[in-house]
Amino acid sequence: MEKRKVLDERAGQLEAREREYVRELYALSKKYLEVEKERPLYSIMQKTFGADPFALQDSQMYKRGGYRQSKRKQEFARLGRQVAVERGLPAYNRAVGLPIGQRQLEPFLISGTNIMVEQDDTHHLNNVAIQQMLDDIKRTVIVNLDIAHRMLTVRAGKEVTPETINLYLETLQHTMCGGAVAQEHMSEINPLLVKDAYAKVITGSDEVKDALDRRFLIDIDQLFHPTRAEKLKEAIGDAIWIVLRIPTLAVRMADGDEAARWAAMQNTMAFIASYGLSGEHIISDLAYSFKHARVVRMGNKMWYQRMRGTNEPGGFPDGYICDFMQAERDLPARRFLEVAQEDEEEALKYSRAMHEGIGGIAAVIDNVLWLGFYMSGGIGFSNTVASAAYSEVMNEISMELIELSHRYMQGVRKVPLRWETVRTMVNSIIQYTMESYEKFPTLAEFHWGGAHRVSVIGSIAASSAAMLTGSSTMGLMAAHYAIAFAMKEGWLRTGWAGQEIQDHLGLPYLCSMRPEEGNLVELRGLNYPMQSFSAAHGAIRGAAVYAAMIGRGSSWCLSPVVKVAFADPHLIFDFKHPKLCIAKAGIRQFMPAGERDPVLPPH
Amino acid sequence: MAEGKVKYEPQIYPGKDETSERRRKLWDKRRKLAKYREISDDDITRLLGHRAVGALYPSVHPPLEELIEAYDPIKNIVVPTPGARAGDRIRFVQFADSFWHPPIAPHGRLRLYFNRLRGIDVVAYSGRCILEMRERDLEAAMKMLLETEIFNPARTALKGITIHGHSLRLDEDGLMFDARRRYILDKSTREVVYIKDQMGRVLDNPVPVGRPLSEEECRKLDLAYTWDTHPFKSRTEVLEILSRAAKLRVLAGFNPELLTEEM
Repeated sequence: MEKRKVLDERAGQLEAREREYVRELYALSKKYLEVEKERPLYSIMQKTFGADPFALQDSQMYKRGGYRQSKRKQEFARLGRQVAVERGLPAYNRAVGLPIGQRQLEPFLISGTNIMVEQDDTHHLNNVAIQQMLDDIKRTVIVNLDIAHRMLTVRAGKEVTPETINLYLETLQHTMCGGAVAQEHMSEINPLLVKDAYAKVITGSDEVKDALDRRFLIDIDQLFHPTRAEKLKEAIGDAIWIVLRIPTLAVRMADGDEAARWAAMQNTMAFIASYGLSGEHIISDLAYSFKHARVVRMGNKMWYQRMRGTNEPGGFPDGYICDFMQAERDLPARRFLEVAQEDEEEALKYSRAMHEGIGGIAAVIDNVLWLGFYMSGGIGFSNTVASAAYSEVMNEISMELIELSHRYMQGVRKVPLRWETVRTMVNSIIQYTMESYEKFPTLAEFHWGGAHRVSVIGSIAASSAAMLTGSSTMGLMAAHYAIAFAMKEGWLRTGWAGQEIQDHLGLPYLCSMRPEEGNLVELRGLNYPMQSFSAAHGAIRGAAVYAAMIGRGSSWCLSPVVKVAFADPHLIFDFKHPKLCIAKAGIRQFMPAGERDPVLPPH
Repeated sequence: MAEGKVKYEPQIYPGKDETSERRRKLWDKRRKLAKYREISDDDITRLLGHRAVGALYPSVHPPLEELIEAYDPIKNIVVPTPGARAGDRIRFVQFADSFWHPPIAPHGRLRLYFNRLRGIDVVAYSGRCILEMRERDLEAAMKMLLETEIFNPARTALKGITIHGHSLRLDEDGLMFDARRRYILDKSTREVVYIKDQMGRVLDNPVPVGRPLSEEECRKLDLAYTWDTHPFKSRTEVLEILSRAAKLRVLAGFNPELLTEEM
């Protein structure tokens, strides 16, 4: 009884203190609401909506002329009528279903660009850059040449010299484009159809590099900051890897699994031609080495119910997805915390690079392509979730992390991997983000679904924890804490479609390293069992992995070879500036590969 | 009861502030919800749109008394609801809750439904919560859902379909957005009036559901922690509990004894 009495008294004191604190806090918040106008978020929302970002009411709601307020929707309505007349069958028709455009259909600015796009412009069927990004990943296979070279010298008695390698590489460009080299009277391909097919070499050795024809090289020294190049070259060593890119048209006709088959066949033919090979024992061993031995495919096969070949989105490991990202490659390989302690402006560059990758690549692969297309057949909702990550909002909110790190973490050498330590910072950044939605009704309208906010808050939490600690696992835990506990309990709402279960499903396995339960985050993927699946979670895992790499000052997440392969300037999609590509495609200024015009009638 | 054993008292929810107290109240079935308005049974039937007013309840199976079923001890323990006993169809109602000082929010509904109703199936989304029950049970539950403090006619809406809009700005009359415009503000009576049922089918006669709550009432009844009512960042006790739950679930796999100081 005595104990209970003491507790009751203390509870009373706590209550009084808490109430007082709240009152003070609210008074202070109101006082400083004016200061919020100085946030870039204020001007972003003002530009997006053309209205006061703090206004809770929209006096023009229902009065904007419906779908006609959007130029793109007007165009679609006109084209839908045209299609219906031409084919004698109704098509896209705004007269059916619900009236669109009762609310404001706001265009938005894609971050890092000056390009405003409409929501429809980021649909994956309308946006050829998004298509090309996926195509460029699907058509990539990386093969180690050392095994083949050893076999040639030991078993076939051939000499491998810089000259023979360069001859082989020139021949390979021809075979990758479907050219015949050993058999006469073969069907060949119109070169204009396959002008995006080629192969290039990666090596970490300066000696090997000097011996090779530069045209066939992905030059690490030229493409990466010297501190990153040094680490990548050390990791790759004097091995020679060949990056093979099959035509976009081929993966469009078949699927990603075609890449390894096309590459193995054409690589074998290039070896046969350039080294003058014959005999089953040699050819079959070569074919084996190009199909299976030290072959890096971009994605694993999926299980039966979700059957796809290799090199398809559900099988991309998260570590590879983050190695596709190139936004950080010009920045020195330094730990984020160190940079943030020294210079906020410099830290902002790292943060912007991180969001360029997460928003332009991970969010697109997960939300738009995997969940919105492969899993659910192409509805438009997941595109809008991804577009939450295209905008400047994420960069803006991350400035808070930089400011907090700069102000309050001076002298901290390393943030310990303890939840009790990390959660203080994570709570601060989550609450800051949540309050931004509460203070800016236009932001809440911009991110109008729970999945948008799950995506943003989860990614912010994941990247904050991962950048501070360098641990992707801690990033993942912070993200799930943010969406399944903090956001849900603060607002009593999460994301779409019963996210109650989806946010909680993977929690017990977040930190498990047993592959059948959890695994290192870098080795998980979009289709990984025993984890939470929903819109936005892929972007969150991407944020955890990519931000951890930046936090550690590393130069790659899972594979240095994959990292270098996607720095290649010959790629059609620019993995260093994904948002710019998507924005350009939105205004019809991005030219993809794989078009069939050379073999079509004039149109 | 064994000697010395403390009687179980559900604590319901942590926190000393008014929002936490409201959560405790709404989720505690022993506490009565304040009644704000009266809506007739027939109007409720019209709003739901599942059957015509005065029509019999269609059934999917004969009354339980007429059924001969295999012995099942659970059926002896669980008393069937009136709708289940009669063999009613399963019907639904879906409420959307505004982001702006809502008297209840989707996960708040879910917990309230689980604590106060029987024979239910519920899913909470970001802006809405769907409730499925036997038809007559649902109609009975609707009285509580529409007439009490958890319904703000301006910021809570029946939306069986096209639920989008919970976090949009409010319209010029202060109502939550609805792409199907099921409800409007009657300027003469200052009451919110439904001109369509929850599925967006036009009603023969409009159904008034009461006046919008004032801004002051909205803030008083807000079930979410919000920066200008009770900021989430100062909810020390709630955050402590959330952090502990995360640790137990993620780091300890539900085994509290595995937690150490290093975690």
